Amino acid sequence: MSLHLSKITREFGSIRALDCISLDIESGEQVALIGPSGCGKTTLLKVMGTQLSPSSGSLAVLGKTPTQLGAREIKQLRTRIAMIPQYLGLVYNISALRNVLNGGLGEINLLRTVRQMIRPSRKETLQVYDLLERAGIGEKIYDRTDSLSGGQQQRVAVARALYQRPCILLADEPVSSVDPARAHDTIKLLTKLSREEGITLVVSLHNLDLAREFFPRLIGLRSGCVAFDCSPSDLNEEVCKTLYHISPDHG
Amino acid sequence: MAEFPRRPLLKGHGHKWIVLAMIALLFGCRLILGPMPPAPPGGQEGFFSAALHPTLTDQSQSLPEDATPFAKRICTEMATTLRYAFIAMSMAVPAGVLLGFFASSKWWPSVITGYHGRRSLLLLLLRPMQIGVRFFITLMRSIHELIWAILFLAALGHEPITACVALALPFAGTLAKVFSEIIDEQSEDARDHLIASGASPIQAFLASLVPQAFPDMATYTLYRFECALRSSAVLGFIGIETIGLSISRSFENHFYNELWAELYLLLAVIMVVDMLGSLLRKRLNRIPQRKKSPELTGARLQNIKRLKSTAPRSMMARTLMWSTVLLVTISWFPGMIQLDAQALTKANESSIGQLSRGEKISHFLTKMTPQPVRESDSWGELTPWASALWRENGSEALTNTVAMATAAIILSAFAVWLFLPWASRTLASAKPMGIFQGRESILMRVTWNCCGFLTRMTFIMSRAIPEYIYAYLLIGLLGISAWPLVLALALHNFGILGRLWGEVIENQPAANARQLMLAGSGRFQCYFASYIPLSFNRFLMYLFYRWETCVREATILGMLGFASLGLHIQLARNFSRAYDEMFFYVLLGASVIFIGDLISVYLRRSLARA
Repeated sequence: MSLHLSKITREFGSIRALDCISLDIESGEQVALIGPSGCGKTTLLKVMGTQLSPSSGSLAVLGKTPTQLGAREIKQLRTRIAMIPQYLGLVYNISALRNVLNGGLGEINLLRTVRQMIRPSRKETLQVYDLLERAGIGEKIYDRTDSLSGGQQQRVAVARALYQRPCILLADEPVSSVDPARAHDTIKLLTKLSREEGITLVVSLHNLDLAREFFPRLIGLRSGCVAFDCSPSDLNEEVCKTLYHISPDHG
Repeated sequence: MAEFPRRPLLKGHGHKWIVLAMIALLFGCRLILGPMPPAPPGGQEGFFSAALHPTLTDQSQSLPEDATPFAKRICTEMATTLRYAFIAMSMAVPAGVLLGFFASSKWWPSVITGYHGRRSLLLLLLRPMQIGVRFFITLMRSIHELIWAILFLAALGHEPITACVALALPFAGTLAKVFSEIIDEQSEDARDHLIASGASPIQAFLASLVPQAFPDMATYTLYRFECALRSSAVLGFIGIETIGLSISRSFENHFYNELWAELYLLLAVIMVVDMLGSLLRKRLNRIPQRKKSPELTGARLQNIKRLKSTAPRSMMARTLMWSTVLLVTISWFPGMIQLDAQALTKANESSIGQLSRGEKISHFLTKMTPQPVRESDSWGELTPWASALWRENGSEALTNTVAMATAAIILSAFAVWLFLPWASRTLASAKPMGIFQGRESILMRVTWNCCGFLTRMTFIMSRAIPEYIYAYLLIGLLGISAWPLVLALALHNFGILGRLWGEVIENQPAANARQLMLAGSGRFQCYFASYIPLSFNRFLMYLFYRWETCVREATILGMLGFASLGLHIQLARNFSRAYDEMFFYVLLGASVIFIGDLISVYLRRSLARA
């Protein structure tokens, strides 16, 4: 099992972002998280990615319980989880190559980090080139990241995530800032790559149509709770409406 | 981040009160510093007319046959000025990077997002270490390089390397402070992401924040090099063989044509470095775009090689880097290319001491112990001795020093306010902000462009000459009082503020000003109604930053003869070799700068928040 969440609650001050969420995600599964803004998608992804600790409830990631791990073990666990944040988190004034290499920092020591910053080895460069090729922008390997378009930068972030050789890939709103055609391509790329590598994929999305087209399992979130958890064929109009229905007390 | 609406000048009265307070402060300083005495008769005869006739031959008639010709001499001295600046910076930059790293908290384990339930014990050590390093940095900066030089030369003997170390100390402190500030300003998205993917905080720091901060750090280092050049030139005034030595000799002998040649040489070199700096900044801020896409064949390695060779890269940055490496090496080891330069560790012939270095240091340290303590061997004597010094000269010198700095920065602030619209690239143009202003004649366009260019050149030229040299010349021309020193500080800071404020104006979003201009207001109405009120806080921030450096400089300008801290340092050194008194005044000066630094940081923070 990749992810096991049981009665997970996360609070920020008096605000309850996640309210008693229980989920199981098998390894290799592809899941779309759907829901309106502020429903807790990002918080849930961050909890899954061990970037945020839950306020209560029990969490198991890749068979480990993050809350019981020491600093070194959590670092090790994190190398197996790749996250593509909404704001990408790239270093913009260095080449795509170096950004992708940054994905592998958890595996190497400080000395090798410095050596890699000065001059990446041929093996490392080849690996990065292959990944960028698979993401469709191999020819951009030596271009500075801020000279790339928004969609290309996103692909750099995808390649960086894959360079981690993760077991779980989490993507937060990967298509919120690209046009519909690009959005289609990006989701296709993510699902294809994760299927090829057998990576568990969890993607948060606004777009219900995209989610239906590509993902065998959809999880709807509404104000911190699971509204539905089903396959696209089971999803009927009524459930969808309740998801985006704005209740008076949340207006 | 939320953008807070700033209060415009015309609505609230805050800005008006600040301007009024500045005028009142200026009058206050005038009361403290006294009136300006009439210039000594005959002092400046021929000084300004010689500006048009600089000479490259010796003016002195009584030189021996085998003396080095003037042109060669000043070129050698200029080269020495450059050499010492390079040596000092090559020590200051690594030290600054190291200290800056330890002054920053961005690589600490506490920044791990999420699971930090178990606070690392390391943190208990890191926080005090950071405070200690920051204190150390401020201490290094608080003592002016010239005073470090005087202290070191007295303690270690008259060797060029000593002077270079003296230069490097405060520069390392300043670089460390600014480097850590630049690091702190960077976006932390990338670093947090790397930590979340398993990198250690130090790895993430190195891989994200360092490259992000690099362009700003590089351009700031170049600016510091420019400052090092100025300081290195000033070292000539305390006997190190840089261009300052010739400047002081020519001025003392009234060889004004020689003097102007030396000034022009210094001006030219510093202006080149200044312009190189702005060129580099522009280059590093531009995003390089790939121009050529190579043909990609099947072989991956070949593809990579082709992509690498055609990747856009900055030739300028590369050239600059390699030439820096080359020049630093030559500066340290001129023998490598058979250059005949002075040995760094050999004192020049004028002041060969009879004492060995160890004896000198112990002698200096004994003499640095306050006299009554030395005689009675009890530290209880320290307080009465110090308070006597404070009553006698200290308090007056301190007030004068601060008043000089304040008067100078206010004077230059008002001057820059008047000159700024003429220098601005957006306003001083036939089409301000690109807005069509009716049919334009070629004459009008040329006039505006010339006006902008000339004003900017005035800024560059006035900041190229160090305060100390301005002060030295002005004291000679106008007689001894505080005002030549104030004027010297104001002149130099006029150029610096001109550049800093010019950048503020250029970075301000132009929408508001455009709107005014489109509604029919003129350039200067637009300047006063939009640019000044909207950028007022940023202006003030830079003003305080410069005020702090002015206090630093004012401490040493006193050495030229006006009753301030510098004068007492100089008197104690030159006449009585009373290193204990000298050290007292040095510490007094350092504490003022320390306090000034704190005030300035506080004000800048609160202004940035407002």
